[in-house]
Amino acid sequence: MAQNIDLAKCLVYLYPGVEWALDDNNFDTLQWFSDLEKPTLAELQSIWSEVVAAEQAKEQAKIQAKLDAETKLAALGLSIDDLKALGF
Amino acid sequence: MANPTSNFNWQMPTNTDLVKDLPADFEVFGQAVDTSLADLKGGTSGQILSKNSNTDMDFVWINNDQGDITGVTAGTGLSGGGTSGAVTVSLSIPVVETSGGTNQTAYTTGDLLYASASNTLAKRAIGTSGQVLTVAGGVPTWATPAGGGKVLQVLSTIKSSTFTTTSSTATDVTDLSVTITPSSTLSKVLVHYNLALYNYVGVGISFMNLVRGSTALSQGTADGSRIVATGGIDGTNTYGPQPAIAGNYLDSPSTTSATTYKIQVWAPNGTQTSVNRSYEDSNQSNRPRFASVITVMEIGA
Repeated sequence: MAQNIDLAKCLVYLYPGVEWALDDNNFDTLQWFSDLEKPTLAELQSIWSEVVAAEQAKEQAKIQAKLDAETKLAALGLSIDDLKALGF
Repeated sequence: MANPTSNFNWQMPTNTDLVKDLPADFEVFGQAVDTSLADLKGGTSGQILSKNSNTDMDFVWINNDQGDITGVTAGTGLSGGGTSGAVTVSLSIPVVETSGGTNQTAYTTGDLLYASASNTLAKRAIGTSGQVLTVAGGVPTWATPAGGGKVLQVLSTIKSSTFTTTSSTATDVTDLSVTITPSSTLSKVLVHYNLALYNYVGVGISFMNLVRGSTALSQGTADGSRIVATGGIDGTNTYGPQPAIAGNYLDSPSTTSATTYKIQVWAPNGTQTSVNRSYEDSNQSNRPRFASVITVMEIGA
């Protein structure tokens, strides 16, 4: 049964480097290949908002990094089009 | 007037000249009778008279064994016999092949007789409906008729739900398998697969195997530390669509047992491998969801 949260993202966030398999975003299908204790659905659900926030922060950081780069280019008198022209 | 004669041409005395010629007539008569009956003389106990020629009164004494069975001897394939009294002769069962028999004692409906070796007959039980008689190992045997390159059956599984794993070893993709039972060991199985496989940009590479049972198919040649697989992707698109891995493989399973073909995936560095969904997979109109398919076709030999 599909749930509103992305269980795969929760698992990656909570257990980096741990191996598992999940079908159809259904917790009941979770195969746990680690010696660590298998998480519960409640644990994953409870972390979902944190996962979303982390992803948003990551996206925001990417956007900010792009803006910072553009600012630096402008300070040099260059633009994105100038970089494309150079083959970047 | 001549004397009368008998049926044996014995000249008998005449009743009109008994006084004058009687002694002479009796002599003639007696000698004729003696001559005619000469063959009856002699013989031994148990002998019988037998005609010696077509001439009247031409007989000869012979042993009393003419036309009688004096003994019965059991030949090959028979038992019993004897030289006196009631004689019984029985057939030796089973009658061996070299005596014109089959060397068999019982049959089941549909049995066929064939020579399994020189001078050896064997039974071949009836085949199943639709089978034909063919030759295997130099003897006739029942077999399902070959399809001659025709597609005998097609089975397919489509998986439209997502699958995600961080396994670093080959892991079955749930519900992306198909089981086929070939009708002949000579058949080939043509497998088509289409796999929407994802990892994410810059970090992940994912691989897939086409597997029969537990045997990976369509593999590259092992060489050092290189990864051997059916196919793979480098994470090129975290969000949007990317080309699916599609291919086919002509397998020779050499079996008539149920055989399962499936897809396995993994990422050697344990990064997130996804099927039918992008890595990011947020609920947006530019995020894809796909289906993956595995199809098998039995091709007659």
